[in-house]
Amino acid sequence: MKNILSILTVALLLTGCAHRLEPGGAYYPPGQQADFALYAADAAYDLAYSTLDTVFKVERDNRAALFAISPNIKHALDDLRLRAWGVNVRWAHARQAYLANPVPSNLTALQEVLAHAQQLAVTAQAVIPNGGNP
Amino acid sequence: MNSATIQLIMQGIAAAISAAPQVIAVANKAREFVAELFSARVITIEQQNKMMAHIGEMQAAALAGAKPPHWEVEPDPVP
Repeated sequence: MKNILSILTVALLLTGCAHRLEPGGAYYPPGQQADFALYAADAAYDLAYSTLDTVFKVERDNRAALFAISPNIKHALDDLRLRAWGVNVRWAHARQAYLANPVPSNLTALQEVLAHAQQLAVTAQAVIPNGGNP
Repeated sequence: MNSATIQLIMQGIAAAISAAPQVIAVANKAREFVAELFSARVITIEQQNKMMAHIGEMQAAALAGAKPPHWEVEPDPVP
């Protein structure tokens, strides 16, 4: 899983202009253009969020054991918990703005928040294996 | 190797085993994501609608401030 999110960021950039959406779906409504960029951003954010969510849950479910191994694990993840939630709220607002007004500047704003979430996910997944040193 | 060290190692192994299904779920999601982006197949209406609904729920939860319990910062455990 290490660095997979970085690879996926490249994948997102490489395929951002592709149009392989079946017409009639939520990302390609009738009478409108396909929005593969939004689909890719949503899928990538889902993956970044899932990574963060899994790391936080694994640590909480095994807190006593991991804290005994190194208190730094919890402390590093607590810092990431605060930052990740802030990013998650920013992402929700950015996506809301893009859905209301799907212009390039709003897509860029959404992708910037996505990149931040991916950075946090990469950092988070390294915390437990590295004993609390991301 | 003393008993405390052995106990810590055993706890670490138990934690890893406990985490495995969750990690596998994320790995599967990553694999599906890569497959969808790089394969030539079309992303179906059903897949699109499922993604939109799922992400919409995540967005609504974030806007409502519905933070999962394991995202909360809690006090350190008492040894």
